[in-house]
Amino acid sequence: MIKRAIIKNYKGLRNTEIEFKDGLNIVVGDNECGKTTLLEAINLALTGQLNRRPAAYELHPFLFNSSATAEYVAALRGGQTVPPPAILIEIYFKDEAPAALRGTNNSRNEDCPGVLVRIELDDKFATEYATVIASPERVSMVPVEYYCVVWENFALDAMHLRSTPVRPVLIDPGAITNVYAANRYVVDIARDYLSTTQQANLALSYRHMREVFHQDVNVSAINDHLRTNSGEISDKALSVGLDMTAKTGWDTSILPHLDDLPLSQVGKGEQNSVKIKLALKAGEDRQILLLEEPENHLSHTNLNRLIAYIAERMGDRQLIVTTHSSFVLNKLGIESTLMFDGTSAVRISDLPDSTRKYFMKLPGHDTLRMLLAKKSILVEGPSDELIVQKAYKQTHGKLPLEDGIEVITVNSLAFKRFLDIARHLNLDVSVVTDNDGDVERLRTKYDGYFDIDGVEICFNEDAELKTLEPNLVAVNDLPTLNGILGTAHESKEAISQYMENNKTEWALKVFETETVIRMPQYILDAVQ
Amino acid sequence: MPSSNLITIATAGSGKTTGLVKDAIAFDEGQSALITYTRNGASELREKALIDNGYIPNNVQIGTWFTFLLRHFVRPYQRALHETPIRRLAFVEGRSAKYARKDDIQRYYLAEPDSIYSDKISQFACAVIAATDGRPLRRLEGIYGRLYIDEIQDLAGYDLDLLEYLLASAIDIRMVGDIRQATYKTNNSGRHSQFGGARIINKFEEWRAAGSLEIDFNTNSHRCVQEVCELADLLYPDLPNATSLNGVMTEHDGVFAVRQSDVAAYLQKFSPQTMRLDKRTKNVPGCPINFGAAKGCTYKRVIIFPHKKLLDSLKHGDFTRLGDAPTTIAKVYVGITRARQSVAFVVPDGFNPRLVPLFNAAEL
Repeated sequence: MIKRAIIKNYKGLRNTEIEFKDGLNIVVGDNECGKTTLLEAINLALTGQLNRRPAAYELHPFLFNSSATAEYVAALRGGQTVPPPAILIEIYFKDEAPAALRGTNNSRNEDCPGVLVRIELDDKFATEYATVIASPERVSMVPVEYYCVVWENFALDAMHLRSTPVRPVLIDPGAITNVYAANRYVVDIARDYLSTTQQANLALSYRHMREVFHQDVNVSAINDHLRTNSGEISDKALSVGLDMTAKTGWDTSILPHLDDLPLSQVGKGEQNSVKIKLALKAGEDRQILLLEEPENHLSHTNLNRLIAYIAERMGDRQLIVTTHSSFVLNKLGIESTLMFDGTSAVRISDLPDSTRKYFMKLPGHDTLRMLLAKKSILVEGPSDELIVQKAYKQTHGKLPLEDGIEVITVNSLAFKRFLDIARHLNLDVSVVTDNDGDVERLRTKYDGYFDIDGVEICFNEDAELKTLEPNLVAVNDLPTLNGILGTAHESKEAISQYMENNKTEWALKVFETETVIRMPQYILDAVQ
Repeated sequence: MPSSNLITIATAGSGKTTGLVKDAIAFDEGQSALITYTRNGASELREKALIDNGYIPNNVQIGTWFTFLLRHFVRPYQRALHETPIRRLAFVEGRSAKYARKDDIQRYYLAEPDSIYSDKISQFACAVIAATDGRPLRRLEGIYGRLYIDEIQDLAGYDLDLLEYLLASAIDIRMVGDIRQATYKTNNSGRHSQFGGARIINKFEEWRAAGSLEIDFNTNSHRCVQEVCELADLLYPDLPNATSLNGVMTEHDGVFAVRQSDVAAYLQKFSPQTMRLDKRTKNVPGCPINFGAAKGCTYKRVIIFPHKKLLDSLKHGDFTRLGDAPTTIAKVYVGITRARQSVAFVVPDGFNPRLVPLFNAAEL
């Protein structure tokens, strides 16, 4: 079981350290934070493979972190000699992993079983590399042609795919659309789900079948014909036969079928769920499952069935799953959630005890919305929610959700709990609150929360404007308001009173109107 | 409780290596390693396993002592002594870096930053164990249930300290060796030189007294006829005598002295393998093999072209005339015990050896 992963300079992951627990680990985070890269990196260190091929064949400059590359290029052009960027991925296992992987050759100097991949400049190419850096103006990327891939364990023993004791199953949502992808996939199925003996038997049958081909009457006749006419083409005897080289083994010619349909012809969603189910049925030696966005390509009903299947069958395997779906998160268990930001990850279990207990009691949906959102705006009631939505739409031309921003109505007493969570998980959260006529009291209430990174508390400093309604009335003229609300109030006081009495109704009208309405500054602050 | 560690002192031709390989293949309580000193030895182990079993089981790893030390005692915890990876071995004859101080890790142990002197590797291993409170041993216990070590007599110097650590570990250690064939040493360290050559038995006895291992003697020679066994045993009067299990009889069995003038006819008739101590013995016909190089080999007949001291010993019936050098005695032992049926010594005409009967030229 994986205890920790350390990743440096791999794609978007500049310097990442993440701890895992036994069993279920659900990784959530922003779209761009590198969840997929994280799984890819773990798989790379465990298998030495990228895109299902040995990593050395798949090296390209974009594997290297772009800012690391940029700094390197800038330093070279600035006349400095700097070490070229290197990728490091270290996987630390728990103590029960095979002792042969154990050693202290890792970046923490920790006595632990583990494996690592380093993609670094190959010293054998020192001369060529010297030529490269001699003209820095022509360097814009990492010169990967002079790089090598080192795959070894913490005891410095080289790793081989056959000798890897901890083999993962990576299930990515990539669809199998052509024969080529299906072929690559069948190799994986074979490796993951067929025993060595079964694979050997398949190879044996396939070889036999090719030999039989040569003995076929028609093939023999053709070869006889070719032989007798060979003089015209070449002095040597010409004949046809199947390619018997090792490169054309059974794994390149056999296609997996599902209900007699080639896998490449099966729908994407079905492919995905088949991959997942196969993985879960795989033998005990596949202790680690890496599952990327199981919700992809699946209808809600099918997703529901699949999630139930995963929960039921995962046993004591370690499952690392990335998701965008609050449904998946809710079903699989929020206590296993890791909030990942590309550098580190925080768990719900890391929260202070009281906050965690409170959190677990909340209706799952609201907290999940906050967890999964790029940013959240917490408001006190439905009318505040509608106005914030409207303000956002007026400012950005679309609704907040389209930008991954959630507007969540929270009991004002619970604001601080949500902010505790936000602080721990480094979430981006704004609070929109009334001052209820006592700015000092509000300041005291949120004492200590004003300085938190990513947290913003928005309210009007003017104690006269106690709630949302007078605030909105204050920044708009009477005819506009009357126009939108379809009323004929003669004073701002009157319309304000009317709004207080018909909270959701006026807010809905404001939300639905095409007319541009001015928003109080503290709301504009929140939607910026 | 008797120790589960066992050392078998085997006589030449007892099939000790074959027995060790069979044991290792049959062992099914986890991983085991079959270790020997030389690469040739490791290839022999591999070949014997393939002959015996058809394939080498997954749980048996075959390798040399040096590779074993490098993989399990140097690299995993080398950072306790040396930061950058040590990946290779620098083979040295004699002693490396004689004038470096022991605490100058780089100069004392390492030929280059990534390669370690072969004669110091076991000392480095012991230093890592000391510096890490035995971590390499705990790690090894997590990997292997049993270790099989062939040619145990080749170990010397700090190898013995390391072996002592291994004997104290939770791993079963099975060793075989013929201390009479100590023609080689893994290193030329001055350490434990009092246990050099066949005297390594004294170390084994010490360990037995301490309860670290049991000693077993295998005195059955499948290879040599009784006369050959008896002659070879005279080289090591303190060790148990060998019993021949070779029941094959030919027209010419036993040990003989052949006069120089009969050699050509003798070679013609019996086609024996010619042997000598080393290249300093000149004018040997055929393709002579040096005693040391013949270790592990078997021939139907051999003819030995003795060096001066061996000739003296034959003349006076006294092998002490070979001198004190343990490796010379060992090499002569190896030379004699290569033959299944007959061993001949070339002697000058008119020479009357006490140790072996003269071959009757009339038989030619």
